Amino acid sequence: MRNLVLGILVGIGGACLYFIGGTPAWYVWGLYALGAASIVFSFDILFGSLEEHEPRAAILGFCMFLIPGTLLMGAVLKLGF
Amino acid sequence: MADKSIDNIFHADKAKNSGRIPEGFVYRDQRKRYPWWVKSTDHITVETDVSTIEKPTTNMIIMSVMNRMSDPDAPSQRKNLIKKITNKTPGFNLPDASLLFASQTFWQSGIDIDGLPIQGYQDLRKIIDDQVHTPEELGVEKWEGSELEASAMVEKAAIHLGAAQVGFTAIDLTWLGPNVSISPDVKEPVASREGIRFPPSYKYIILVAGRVPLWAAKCAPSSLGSAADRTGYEEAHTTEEKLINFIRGIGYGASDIHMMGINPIPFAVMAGMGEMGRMNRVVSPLFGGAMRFAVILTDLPLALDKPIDFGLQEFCRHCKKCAKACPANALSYDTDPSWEPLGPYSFKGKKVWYDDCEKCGAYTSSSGSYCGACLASCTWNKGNKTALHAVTKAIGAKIPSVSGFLAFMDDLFGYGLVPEETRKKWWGLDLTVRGVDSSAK
Ligand code: SF4
Ligand code: SF4
Repeated sequence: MRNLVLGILVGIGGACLYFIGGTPAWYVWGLYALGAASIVFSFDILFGSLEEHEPRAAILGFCMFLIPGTLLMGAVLKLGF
Repeated sequence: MADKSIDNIFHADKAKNSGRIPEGFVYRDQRKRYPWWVKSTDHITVETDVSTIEKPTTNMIIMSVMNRMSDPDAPSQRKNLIKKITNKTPGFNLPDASLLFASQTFWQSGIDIDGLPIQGYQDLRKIIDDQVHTPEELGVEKWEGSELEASAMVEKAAIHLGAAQVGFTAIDLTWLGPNVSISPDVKEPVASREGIRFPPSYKYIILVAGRVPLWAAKCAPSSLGSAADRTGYEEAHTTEEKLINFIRGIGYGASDIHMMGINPIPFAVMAGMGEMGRMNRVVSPLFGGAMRFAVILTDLPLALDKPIDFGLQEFCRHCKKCAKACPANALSYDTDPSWEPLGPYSFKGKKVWYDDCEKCGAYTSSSGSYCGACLASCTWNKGNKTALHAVTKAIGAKIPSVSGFLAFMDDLFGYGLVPEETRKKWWGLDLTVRGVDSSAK
């Protein structure tokens, strides 16, 4: 279920970039892909590690991938819109 | 059918380098067994030299039983357990201890709480035997098929009966204990005071792996951690007994061999169930140290498996997590493996990180429980609920020289043994059946 939700959010983000962002350069798409992968991975680690009863891994892994993912998405917002 | 003469089967007596897959056998397609980062090989990843082989003259379990019999006042698990229960030591509360004993209800095999010999599951054999209905008894033909068909069928049956994984290999006399021999005079394996004799037709070995529930295992060394360890053994051994019945039921001979006769480790490595790790035990790319083995010897012709390589020999050089976890300081911290055993109970002739069995045994018999801290702390022990583990395992296998960093991250993320004061948390966890996820592959 969580993968479905994350997939839908990534799709909505990509659609926004395509329809609202005009014609972003190729590297903006690259940044978007990296940022999205990083954020999706951070949630995968968060929920997966909690299921494994590893709360420390959940928090650290979440932060470790969410922060760079968010920064990359910030760069996409700045460059692509 | 391929040539499987005695000379080929017991090839290792003549070969310079045991550990190479024997010729004259059919091999299974290895590609479906593991993820892409695990390679099949024709030689185990540990260096071996048959010309320097020396079998140990005794077995640590036998020695500890003899010590106990000659000195009934020696420190025992019972005394230490009672002390720890009374002191409310985390992981040694009464429910923890009771869970340990319940976990080995059918299997207990080796030494008991008083340090005396016990062979629980063998006493069950009579009841188990009643469930076998051979083709002769039913008046039908025995099952016939190719080696490949036989291996595929036995694997399916084993998984159905409870195995986490199976592997197939051939007997190799090099790595059998000094009390094991082949004898044309017997029709099936016979264990007696003089040792174990098996007939030349019993050439095939089936390794049956049982899963160890990881979170409880990480409470080692304690009764709770040992309950996990025993759960793994019990699963492997009760599945083994059922699988023996299956093989007999299709018309072939099959027998378990008590651990004192056949140590499963070299055969598990030959059958590609894992590689030898720093802890001098098998590490699986799928389950790390969280699996236990049982061994079946059979005359059912099987297609064999090959050894594997997932970079562990290089990985263990820098990881050392198990050595740090060992409460008895019994594991090596040397960067490279060695040809020299650390005590009288190990085989010479292989280049491994030897463990000091005496220190390990002394700790285990006086700790009030079993141990298994090394197996429970291994960096390769992981669940399968997040893709993080698949990514880090692939990195560990393909760039094993970064294992020092991966072990550091493993500690930082809180993997490994559970701190003593946190052990009781296990009783409040939302657990999967048996504490394992059966889809983990
Ligand atoms: S079982 Fe325990 S004492 Fe023995 S080697 Fe492993 S960690 Fe050390
Ligand atoms: S804990 Fe590390 S060093 Fe020890 S066996 Fe596992 S991978 Fe090797």
